[in-house]
Amino acid sequence: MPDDLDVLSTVDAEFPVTDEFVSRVRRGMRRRRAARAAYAAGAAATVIAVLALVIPQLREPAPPAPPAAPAAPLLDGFRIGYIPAGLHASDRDDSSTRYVGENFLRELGSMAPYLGEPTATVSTRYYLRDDGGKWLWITVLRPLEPSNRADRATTTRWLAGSQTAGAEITESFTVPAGAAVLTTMAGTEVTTHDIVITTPDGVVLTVGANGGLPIEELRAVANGLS
Amino acid sequence: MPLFPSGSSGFEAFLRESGPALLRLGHLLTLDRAAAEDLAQETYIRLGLAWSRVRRDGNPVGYARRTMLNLFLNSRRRPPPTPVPVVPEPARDDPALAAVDSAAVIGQILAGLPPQQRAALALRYLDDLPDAEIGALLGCSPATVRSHLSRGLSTLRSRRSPLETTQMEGEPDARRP
Repeated sequence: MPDDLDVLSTVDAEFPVTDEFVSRVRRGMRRRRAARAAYAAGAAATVIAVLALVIPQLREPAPPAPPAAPAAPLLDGFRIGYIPAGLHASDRDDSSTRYVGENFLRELGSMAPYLGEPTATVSTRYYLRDDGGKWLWITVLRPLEPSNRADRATTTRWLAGSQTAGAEITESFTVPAGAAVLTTMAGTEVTTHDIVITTPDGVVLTVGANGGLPIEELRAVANGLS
Repeated sequence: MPLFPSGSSGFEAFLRESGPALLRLGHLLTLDRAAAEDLAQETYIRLGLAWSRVRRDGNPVGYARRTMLNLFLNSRRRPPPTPVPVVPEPARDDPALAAVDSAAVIGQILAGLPPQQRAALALRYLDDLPDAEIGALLGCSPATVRSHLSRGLSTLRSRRSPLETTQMEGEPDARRP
């Protein structure tokens, strides 16, 4: 085979490496590096531009800031920290003083008071939808002077009882304002719930709603009372 | 004279030292001086751009050979620029040009070989590389290298003989009175 390969010597040739050849290689390398740098810069610029366009769209749209709740006046000294969206307070609160019986309330003047029957103030704020429907109401029942028939603790218990009467207590839990129970009033078509809270100083708070308000919203309102 | 780009330390020395051998290989592959220089230039540009890595790997000559072969074989996958499988006009009428004609004949026969066969012959001729090393450079097995060499040489022998015979027929016959 070597003899056969020797025939390639007829086309073989020696070439010196000239300065001109070295210079051509040098220029080629510089051009290629410049092109690479330009390509990399272009690619980086493209990536940055794409990211700048895409990332804002990928981001979750910032939740609309909750409408600044108007500085609602306190309801008999209690601050209402949360109200479900779409509801607004009625123009004015209801407020009255009631006789407090064992697990019921009576209007003053409707009947002569029992001997030594305690009284309590009852303040209610309604929350309405735009169509005028009442969806939520919060009531503060505050015992007045204790009587000789019922001390303050008894009055508080009767007040709480007046709010749970006729309903089933289905859960007990704690909220910032005090000890709470969830009541369930099962109807033939609609089931409603209330949350009755007894504060440490003997005031009773009730959060009531119609059957259309989710129970989670009811809990949220109760948790927002302070 | 401006220097090579930064990071090319030692590259020019390597270029000047290895250049002649690489240009010879390029010439046997392309069978054209200008094409050989272009092929070597592109090879060295690519080598220079990767010089720090190539030098670290420790076999710059092998890297240069392989780069040149890849460039050559890839370029041959495109439509061949000068397909000349046979000698169009054998120079049999001018015995004085026999030596030149012989180179032309061999060159044209080589030009008619498939690129892989030509590359295998060039590598064996120039550096006497073993089959395995040629196979590594060409990306094929040693058995395939042997096949390339065998077929290439066979083609060289078979096409050379009739041409040289024809040429000899044109020369003065010394036995004739």
